[in-house]
Amino acid sequence: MLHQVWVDVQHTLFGTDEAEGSRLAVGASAGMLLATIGAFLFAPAVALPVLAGFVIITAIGWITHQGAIARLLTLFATVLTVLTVFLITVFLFVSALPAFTEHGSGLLLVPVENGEPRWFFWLEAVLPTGETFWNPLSGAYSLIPAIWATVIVTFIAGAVAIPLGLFGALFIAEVADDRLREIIKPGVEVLAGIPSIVYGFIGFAVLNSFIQDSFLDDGASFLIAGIVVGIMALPTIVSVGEDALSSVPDAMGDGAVAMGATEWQKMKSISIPAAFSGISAAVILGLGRAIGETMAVAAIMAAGVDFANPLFDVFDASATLTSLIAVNYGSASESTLDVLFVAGVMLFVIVAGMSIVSQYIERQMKQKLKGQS
Amino acid sequence: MSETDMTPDTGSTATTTTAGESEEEARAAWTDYHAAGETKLSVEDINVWYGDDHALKNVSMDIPEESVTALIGPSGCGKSTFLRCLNRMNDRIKAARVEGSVEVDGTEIYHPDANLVELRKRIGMVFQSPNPFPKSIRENISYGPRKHGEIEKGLLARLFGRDDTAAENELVERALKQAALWDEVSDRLDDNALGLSGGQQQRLCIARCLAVDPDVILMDEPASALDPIATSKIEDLVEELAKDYTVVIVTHNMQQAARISDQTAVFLTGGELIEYDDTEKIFENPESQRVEDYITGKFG
Repeated sequence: MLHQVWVDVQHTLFGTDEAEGSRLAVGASAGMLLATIGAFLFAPAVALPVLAGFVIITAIGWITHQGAIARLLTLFATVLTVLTVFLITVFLFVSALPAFTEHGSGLLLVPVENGEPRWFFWLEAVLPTGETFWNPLSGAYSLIPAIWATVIVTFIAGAVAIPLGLFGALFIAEVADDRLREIIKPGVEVLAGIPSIVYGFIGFAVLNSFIQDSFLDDGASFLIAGIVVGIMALPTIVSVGEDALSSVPDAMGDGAVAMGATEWQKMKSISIPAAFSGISAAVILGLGRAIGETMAVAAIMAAGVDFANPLFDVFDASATLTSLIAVNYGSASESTLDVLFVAGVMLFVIVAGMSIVSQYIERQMKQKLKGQS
Repeated sequence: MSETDMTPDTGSTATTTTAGESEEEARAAWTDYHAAGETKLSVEDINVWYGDDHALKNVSMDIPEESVTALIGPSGCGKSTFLRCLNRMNDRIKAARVEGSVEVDGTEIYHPDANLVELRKRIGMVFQSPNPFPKSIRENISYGPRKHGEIEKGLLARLFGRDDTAAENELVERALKQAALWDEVSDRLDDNALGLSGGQQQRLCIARCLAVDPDVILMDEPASALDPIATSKIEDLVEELAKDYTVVIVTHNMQQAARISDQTAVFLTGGELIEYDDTEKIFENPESQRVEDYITGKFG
């Protein structure tokens, strides 16, 4: 067992095309790396010279045994990435633990009055109520309004982004000719890279004032935040959805058209069903982005934490899970910070879950098109 | 004076283009060829360009009904392009430009008012590699009729008091039997068609095409992706189909063309139709030297 592990480690470190002296180079470099980490943790004062030693030894190794050193560096980079993500996850959950133990799920999810959880608070939330859900100073720590705000924003974002995104993807993949596609596709992907605060600012400055001037004097509402987040999610949905539609073999579409199906019948009955799982993945990815969106929402609705009143009032405003963290962490006390970590854990679980689901769906689609289902 | 001018000129032409002249003679020997039987498809001076590439040059031929017409030639000779002219599939390639005339039973298919849906219902097509839809076998077969509104089923249809499930079952059985696939799949009609073997998939595609009830079936190297046993099944099927349908088949396999076709058209490089005649004539005594070289394996 242990021997097998050692063999695997050797295989990973040295590969199968080991050259003379590469063990020495890799060993020296790896040793210096471990020494650097050790120095950083236990004797920070000497960390810099040891790091320099690692760089020099690695550079020498790079010249003499490039293949072996490159292999070590790729391994190092991978271990570092995985370890960092792992530690962040652990830290997030550990930090959220005190709030869980202190407030318990009842207090976290449900408002409490006189030490009793009020399970049917949502009935009151439909009606006007003076209830305070979030006031760290007086010990009101309910995340429910923030969760509800996240749901509303995500729902509106979906209502904006899903239809537009899918029709956009369909246009690019099936209707537009090649030259047009080559312009639009990269253009849409560039949009996906615009920092979210820019969208948020545009939403606040343009959309918000437009709505305030033209329709309502409220402004700064779920509706605007949802629309802006939906527009942000749009490029993701278009791009991933287009990839899914394009990956349907042309031969299938040719077959349909050669039997006298019209182009629209072909899209409806062949392209979309064949790409369905990929399209679902696109929608989930887009919604995941909407749920996780922080800056745009914070820029538009820097309001307090409260239920929409009534619950479905899209013209109301409240912080979402993400913007709750963003707005509060700077001024948060110890106990508030713990609750914010719980919000972080919730977001983490939701978005990670959606990402896993979308990857699963995408794999399903690949198998389906290969005929293995 | 013109006499003296002319003489050296013609002389030089004669010496440089003896081969060309015999090519012309060869062409003259078969251009009047008219296959036995009623003409189903009449192609007149068809030209195709892909961008600047002149892929098919002035091809004219009459294809008789209820027979197998093979199109042979090396890769890139234009035989598939020609086939795709017959059901206007080239229209789907944006860079392609088609000029000329194709008549089906005397009706021009390149007429501006031609109805592509009707055309493709009459002229079915089977592709090089099997392309079943990722649906059940049953849905693959009934795809065409459902798209043409000949079969309506499901909740909405029932709501309007129409349910063609029985007609669909009948159609599926008929088409699968015609394609010699019924015995192999009759117990799993609702399985995904992509789970079939390559040869079965190709016969399913043929069945799917037959379900639309076409007059003409175009086949673009239908057996090139299949193993020898599956290939021979397809060949048997093609011969069987030729009793009722007009089959035009592209193949790069000359033995296949010799085995199953009644007429053979030979395309060589450059998108020209070099010779078109009865298959026997082409394979035993072609007019053109180049065709003979190609058939005997000296070229291509």
